[in-house]
This record gives sequence, structure tokens and C-alpha cells, in this order.
Amino acid sequence: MNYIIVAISYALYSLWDWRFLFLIAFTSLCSWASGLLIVRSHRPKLWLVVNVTVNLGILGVFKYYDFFVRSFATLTGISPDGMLLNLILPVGISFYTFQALSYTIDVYRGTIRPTTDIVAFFAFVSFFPQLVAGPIERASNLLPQFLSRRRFCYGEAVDGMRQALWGLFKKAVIADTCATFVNFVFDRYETLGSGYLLLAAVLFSFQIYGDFSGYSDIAIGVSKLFGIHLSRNFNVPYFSRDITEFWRRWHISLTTWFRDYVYIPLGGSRPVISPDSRHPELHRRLIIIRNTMVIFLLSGFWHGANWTFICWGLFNALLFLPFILTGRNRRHVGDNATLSDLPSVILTFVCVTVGWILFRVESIADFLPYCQQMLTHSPISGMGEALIRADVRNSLIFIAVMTIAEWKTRTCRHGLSFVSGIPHTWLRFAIYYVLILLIWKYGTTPQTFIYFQF
Amino acid sequence: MKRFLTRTLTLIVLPLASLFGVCEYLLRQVDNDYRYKATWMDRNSETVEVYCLGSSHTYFGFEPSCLSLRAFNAAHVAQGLKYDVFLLNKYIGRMPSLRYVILPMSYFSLTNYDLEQDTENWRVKKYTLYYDCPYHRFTPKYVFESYAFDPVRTIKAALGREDERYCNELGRGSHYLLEQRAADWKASGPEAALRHRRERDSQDLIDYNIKYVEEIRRLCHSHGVTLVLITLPAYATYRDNLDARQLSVVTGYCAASDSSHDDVIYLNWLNHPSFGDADFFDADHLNQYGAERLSHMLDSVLTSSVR
Repeated sequence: MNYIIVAISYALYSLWDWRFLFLIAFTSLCSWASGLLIVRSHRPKLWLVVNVTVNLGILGVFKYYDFFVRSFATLTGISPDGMLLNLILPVGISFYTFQALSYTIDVYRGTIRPTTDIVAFFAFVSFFPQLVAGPIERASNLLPQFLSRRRFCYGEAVDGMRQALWGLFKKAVIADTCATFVNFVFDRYETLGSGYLLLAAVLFSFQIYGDFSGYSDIAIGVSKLFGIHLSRNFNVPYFSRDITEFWRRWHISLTTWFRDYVYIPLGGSRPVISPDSRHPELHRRLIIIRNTMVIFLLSGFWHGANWTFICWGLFNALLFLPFILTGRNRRHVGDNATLSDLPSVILTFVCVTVGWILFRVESIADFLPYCQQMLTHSPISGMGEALIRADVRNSLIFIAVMTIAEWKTRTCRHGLSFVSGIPHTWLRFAIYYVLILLIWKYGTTPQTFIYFQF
Repeated sequence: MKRFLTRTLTLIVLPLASLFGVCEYLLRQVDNDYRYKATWMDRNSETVEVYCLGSSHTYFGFEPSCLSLRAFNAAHVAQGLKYDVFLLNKYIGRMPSLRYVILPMSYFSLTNYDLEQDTENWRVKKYTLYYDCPYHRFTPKYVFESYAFDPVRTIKAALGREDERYCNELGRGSHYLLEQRAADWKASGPEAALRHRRERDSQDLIDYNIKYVEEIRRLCHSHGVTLVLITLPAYATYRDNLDARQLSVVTGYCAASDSSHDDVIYLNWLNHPSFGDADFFDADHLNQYGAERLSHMLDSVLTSSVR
């Protein structure tokens, strides 16, 4: 089975660009060999450093080299021509690199044992449902599943199909319908009224959620057909009551990656302060601020070599810091929002949406003009005109459907979980057919997944 | 697994495949411009003396019945040079009487992306289905009428109430009528000019499109046919918002082609004074009266042409 998974994964990836198969194979081979060398050699740290350097080096060359050259050239005023590599960014490189890195770090820490099964390891790195946009799996969760015998489970497969269908609905119907209007507005925001810009910002929040969580649902659902259980990547993030809860519910696999491999090693929110420190509380707070800044800036940078992403990370860090410094960052752990939490849910959504504007604008120079244009006039200026557009109307209807479904199922694993509780087969299938027909109708002009570029 | 596969197949895949098949069958029965023009050419291509290619500008702006020669309008909305080449290649060998090919050279002609990259790319499948165009035979999006589910259109097709043929007997789009134009039709000029503008350096795009024009010229030349390049009249609100540099690329290329080839004529009628308010449907499309005026003028040129 693992041979087949590797073959399918590599075949699908080669449809995009076969040359980059060598890169995945090299990353996989390096990490697999490093895992063994870490345990078997006398210098485990050396092999960890070598592996981390090689993996981050590849990522750096493909993803960040030109950005640094351009930024350096801008600072110094020299021409970057001749220094740029202009390389194509391999699809999913950030995802599989981080996944491979987690393996060697965990082996070094002794959390997991290295595997000698190279095919299982290659399947772990390149598993096709999540290869290009995650979730970023930990070796401790995914690798053992490739090493053990898997059995087909009817109930799991049906639930997987439901989750994949829900993901496809979010991607093809919601995200792609929103994208038409969002692209239209962000391409010419200078010429449009406040209502247009406001609506585009809100719709982009749902576009990116539908796009990315939709992909995750498809990946998790398809994996269940193979008897593989991937981690949850989104947990109804727009029902968060503050920004810290949002970051526990959004792109969970990345935030926990940074938490476990960067934030906690740096001291996290409970740094150990030297007893000699004359101002231990101040010292502690400064370290917390540094650690928070580091993970958010890294998270922004992970998304892409662009100042917009870095500023988006900084913006979120600034929203996050007051909560962590006042110890209110874990007020909403383990429970879900209720209707009485609506004001704080809306406030959090507004904050997140402002951040998404930073994420979406072409360059950082567009952010303030966009906000200025959005806030200069009355929010209803142009709103009526925008609402006449079919793509806006459809987007809002589909968003309402998704929001209701996800609110009802917010304690479950996905938005179609409720279907399993419906006793009538005809009603269950009616729901499936409605979703399939909507996907067939609205999902035929697909937009590339936003997170493929990362 | 057997139960899962059986249920998926019988309750999901087969019903959907059947629905898809029925929709496809119904939509393929609907009459449309592409089917009509392809059928017309199959029956009458031997008689055609003037063959007009191009996009909406000639689709609405060229009335073949006004010519003293036997003409046919093969233009379609958003038909770029790539599909002009395809149509000419397909039919030129079947048009022994052909004397002139009319090719509109609009402001955007040399900076246009292929139809596949356009918002009108749903039209690509029409070339595959009705003209048997080989470009996309294996791309579902460009092969099936029901690639996107359209219940309203399908139901109308089932009831026999769907008719998507908008051209007259000789191929001119006949629904841009003076009587039906919008009150603020002049306002479409700046927006259309902006839509047709290429902001970025487009030399590669220009070279790419010139390659197609040259192919049309070579085809015409090899069959002893005169190529008439024409920039159609446009209203002031469109003309005044055009980028001078982009426009000069088109007019300059056409003028150079006219002067360097005996069998190429270029007619730049963008600012032609004969066309007034009553000749336009919107700022860059002629209505039925404008089309007749233009076609009569073109007839004079073709009949007096000694080349």
C-alpha cells in the first residue's frame, strides 16, 4: 500500500512539474538518513543541524533568496539584476519541508524512534492528499500509520467522503465565488466606494477560510478512504472570542508546529528567569514579547517572501500581546462560543479581517490607502451597488449556509457531521445532491488554492 | 469496501452521470451561432467571395447582405486571432470563389490574450463542439456543454424554449439594435477603453498576436485572396480614452502591412466622420444602421479596388 501511495503522490505532483520530484525525494532521503544517523552516530546534534540546514537552505533558496536580494538592493540602491535566481517556487515546499523537519527534531528529542522503512517515510513526506497545502503532520501522528497495517472502515470512509464534500463546497462554491468579487475590488480599489471595499474585505476573510479549510477538509476526508487519520487543521476559527482563541483554531498544524519547535524552546510564556536578574518581572515580560514576536513574524514569513505577510504577522502579534501579558490568553480553552458571546466573536472577526487586508493587498504600500478609502466615506457608499452583483449575493447566501452549518456542528469534526444523525436515507442523499449540484454549478471556474503558493 | 463502492456507484456516480448525460444531450440540441455558422459554411462555402472574421466589432458591425459580392460574417463575440486562424485554415480550401478576407484590427487586437484566458472562455467549447476544433479535445471544460450545471438553461432546452442563435442568415449579430440601446450608452466608452488596455509591457503579446495576423496574411496570399484589415468606427467616449501608444502599435503595424504587401488593404475608420450617434449601440459597437453604413462603404472600397 505504501508503494502505491508514494507512486500516486509522485505521479500527481509530477503533473505540476516533474523536475521538483527530485527535490521532494532529496528532502525525504536527507531527513530519513538524518533520523537514522542521529540515533546511530556519536554526534546526533551534528546530524540534526545538517538536516535542518539542508532543509531550510533549500526552502531559503527557492522561497526567500530573491526577496532578500531585492530588499538588500532597495536598501543600498544597487541594481538586483544579475543577482536574482528567478526560480519557480515548488508547490507545497513549505508544507513538506516543515513536515520532514518535525521528524528529525522529534527523533533528536527522543520523542519518536527513527524508521528504517524508507518507503513508509517517503509516503509520510509525500502523502498526496496533504502534500501541497497541509495539514503539516507530525511524524509521531502520521508515520506510525504508514508503518502499521491499515484496514478499510466503512463508517470512516463515508464520513471521509462527507468531509471531502463539505471541503469541496467551501472551496469551489464559497471561496471561488467570493474570489470573483474580491479580485475585482482589490485590483481597482482606488476607484470604488467604501461599501465595495468593506464587502471585499469581509468576503476575503471567508474566501481564505473556505479555500484553506476546504482544502484541509478534502485532504482529511480523502485520507480516511486510505485508513489514514490526519490532524484537524481548522476548528471553526471565526467563532473565536478573542485573538488567542482564533490562533488556537486557525491553521492549527502550523501554529502548533511553531509552538512546539520555536516558541516553547525559546521559553514560551513561562520563561526561566535568572535569579540574578534585578527586574525579573520586566525581564520575563520582555522575553514573552520577544517570543511572541518571533513566532508571529516567522509565521508571516513562512507564508511568503513579501512584506505584506511579515506585517500581517506583526499585526497579529500586536493583537496577541495584550492577552498574553495580562495572562488572559487561555480564557477560552476547551469550550465553544455561545450566542451570548456574539459581540466578542464579531469583534475578533473584525480584527482578523483587518489583518486579512494586509495579507491580500499586492504590496504593503496599498494597505493604508485601502483602509483610508474604506473608511473615508460612509460604509453604505457603493454597498447597494455591490449587493446587486450576482457574485456578491451568491457569496453572502453561501456564507450564511456555511456559517449556520458550522455553528450547529461547532463541537463536531466538520460541517457535515450532522448528516450522520439524520435517520432518513433520502434526506441524507438530498443534502449530498444539493451540495454536489451547487459545486457543479458554481465550481467550474476554479481558482488556484491560495495556500498552494506557500 | 464492496458495500462502500457499490453504494457510491449506485447512489451517487450513476445518477449523476445520467443527469450529466441528459443535460448534455438537451443542451446540444439548442440552436446557436456556432452551430448555425458551421452548418452554413458546410453548405455554402463554395459561393463565398468575402469572408469576414473577428470579434464582436465585426460580429455586430458587418452586414454581408449590403455587399454586392457574396459575403458571410464568420465573426463571433470574443473571437481572437487564434480562432480566426483556425476558421480560415478550416474553410479557405473550401472557398474557391473567395476574393477578400476581412479582418478587424481593433485597439486590443494585438494585445489580446487568447480566448482561453478571457472571461468569455466558456465559448471555447463551441469551437470544439460545432467547428470540430482540435485545440482542446481532451479538456472537459472545453468539450461539454454541461460542464457547468445550468438548471434554468437545461429546463428551457428541455421545453424547447432555449434559442441561442442571435445572428441573421449571413452571420451578423442582430440583437444590438438602436431601439434597445441603453440611455447612458456613451458612458460605456471609458470603461471599455480601460478593459481593452494592457498596462504592462506587452511586447511578447504583440509578437504573439502578430504571428497570427501574419499566418492569416500568408494563407490569403497563397490562395490569391486580398486581406482587408479594418479598424472599425468607435464613438468619441471610447476613442478619447484610448492609449495612444497601444493604438499606434495596431495602426502602425496595419499601415506597414498595407504598404509592404500588394494584397493587403488597411482601412482605418476609427474616426470616420460618416458615423454619428445613430450608428452606435454602445461606444465601441455599431448597431444595425451603423453596420449597414459600414458595409456599404466597404462594398465601395472592394468593388473599386483594382489591386
